[in-house]
Amino acid sequence: MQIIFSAFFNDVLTLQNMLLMFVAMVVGMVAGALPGFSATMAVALLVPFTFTMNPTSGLVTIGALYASAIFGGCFSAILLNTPGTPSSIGTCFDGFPMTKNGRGEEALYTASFASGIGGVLGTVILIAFAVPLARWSLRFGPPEFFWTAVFGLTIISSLSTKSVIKGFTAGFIGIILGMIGLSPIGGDARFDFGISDLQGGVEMVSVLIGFFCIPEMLRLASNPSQRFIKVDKLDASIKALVAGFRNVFCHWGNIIRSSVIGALVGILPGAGGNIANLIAYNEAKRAAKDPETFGTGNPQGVVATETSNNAVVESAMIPLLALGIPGSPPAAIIYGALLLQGLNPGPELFEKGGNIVYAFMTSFFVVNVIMVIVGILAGKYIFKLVINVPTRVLVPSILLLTVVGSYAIRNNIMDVILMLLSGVAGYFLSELDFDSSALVLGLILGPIAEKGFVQGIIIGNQVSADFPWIVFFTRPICQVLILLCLVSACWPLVRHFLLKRKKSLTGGVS
Amino acid sequence: MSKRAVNVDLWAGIVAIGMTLAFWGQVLDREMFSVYGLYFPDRVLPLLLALGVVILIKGLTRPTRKTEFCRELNGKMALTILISAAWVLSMDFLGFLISSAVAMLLLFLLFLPRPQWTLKSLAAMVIIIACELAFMWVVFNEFLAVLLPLGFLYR
Repeated sequence: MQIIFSAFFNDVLTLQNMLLMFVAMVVGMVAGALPGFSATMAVALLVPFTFTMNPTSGLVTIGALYASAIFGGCFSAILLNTPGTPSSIGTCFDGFPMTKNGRGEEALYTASFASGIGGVLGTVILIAFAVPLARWSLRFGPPEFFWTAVFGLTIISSLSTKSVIKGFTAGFIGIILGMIGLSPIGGDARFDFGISDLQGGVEMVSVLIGFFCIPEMLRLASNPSQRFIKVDKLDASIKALVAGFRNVFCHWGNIIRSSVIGALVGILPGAGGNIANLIAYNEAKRAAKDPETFGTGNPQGVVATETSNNAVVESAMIPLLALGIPGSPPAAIIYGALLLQGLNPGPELFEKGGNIVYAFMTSFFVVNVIMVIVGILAGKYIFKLVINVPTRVLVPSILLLTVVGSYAIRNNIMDVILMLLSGVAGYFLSELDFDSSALVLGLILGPIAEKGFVQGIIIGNQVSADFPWIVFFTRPICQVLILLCLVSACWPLVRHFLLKRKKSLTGGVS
Repeated sequence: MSKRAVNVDLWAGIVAIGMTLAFWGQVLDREMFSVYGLYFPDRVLPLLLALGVVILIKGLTRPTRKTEFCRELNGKMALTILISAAWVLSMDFLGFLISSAVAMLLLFLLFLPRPQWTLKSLAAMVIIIACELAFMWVVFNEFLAVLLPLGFLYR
């Protein structure tokens, strides 16, 4: 305990480190808010600048940038319905409707407070349970990952408000879109329709931008005289700030549940904020007394997604620091940064570089506090900027952002073409009552499910050549996940039945 | 003008089945693929086909009809799609700056009501476009090392 306090007060709270963290956070937020510019790219670009810094300063700067880039994704998700990073997909579901209802400022403040508290709780989990949780994560093999992906897909049953069948169909369309390109096992080029550019696969962020942002822009383009946001319903800043604070700190159940989900998913190698935020959203909706308001601008949806995706940032460090296993691309870059600073991630790290590691871990406390303050200030001015820009200027400007954002991911024009095609397809599919969020969920989870499924079958063949499937049902964690899948998939039906029963018992008086 | 109600279930079913068949058509030549490359698609495609058929049957028996299907689809939206498509497709040849400047100017003109087409508003448009493009170019090309397309002029 003494070493933790010593690292925090002596190494983190120095003027130099605070300034470095502040600058990194501003850069990170901008990078996160730009659709197509990922947290991984931002961290990778920063690493060379940290070579000359002392190890603690370098690592706290990288940590600040990573955390704020994930947070920054909420700005574009809330204001433009465009997730800046895949970790903010769920934020679009309620954040953007809040903006359309004139509560965008409140949504931004809610996201800032939720991100801050999610990050702080994630840091507590990181410091307290790093080693045991890292060991637990090693028990996750391909069958467990398959069921985790299936569990994520069951969210569709509660996400689809118009038609569950169409929701699942959209999810499966997302899965087959995710199969375009090289197969994860075997390396076969599939579903490329003879276009060589498609062999690299469909870039998820481009499709995200297309499905979420372009349909909104097309709707605005059809009537450019309409306002993007209903300005007559705008909250005053202070009122919005208080509402944002209450949305977060009067709902501890949602905060703790979402933080734990974020922390547990973040530990798993290959999983991350993109899955955690959707699971947390689903669980918040399932636990809510008013689930029907989710998707129409319920702040608890924003709280759940933003809390969980920021808890992921810290927990993703657990397997990296405790076992030397980088579970996500940014963690892999941080792994490289640690090696460059002469530190070998793994069990010995806590003994040999204890001071530096604890300084790195505790720096997330400071980062998350500063992030709330910067987020509130930035949110206020960005929101005012967006509402004051006329639609006829806003639409071309956002289209420019989507074009550049899609191109920036892989320097590939095909990604921009796919973004536009996804956008136009997204508009028509939503008119046919297909849910874009379900499709995107399939696109994200499909590759994880496929890899887990095929690898699981290969493992199963070693166990039983006649029944290789058995491996998906006999492992203890798989059994827990199957149970969770059943509960999650059937929950809307169970809830409907319970409500019906309650109504019949009370004689139809609600 | 009376609007015809569109059977969205029928069309949704056709889209789902059409997509399944298009993707299935890609893996008909089984010898091109290893066993593991098709293991997962072989399970997913039949499920998608089945869901498409269910939606189609619903469309034929208990259809959901929409009178406001694609109600926002008008000339401005169609032109926005066309301009955006031309923008994206010409970006590699014309370069990011030229294609974006032309496309944004066309979009501004499309959205600006004809009575407001004055020299002042046109000048304002040009300034906004120049500032936005310069900002994007500097941020992405110079700071973030994302090389935006230069086009034929600079090759």
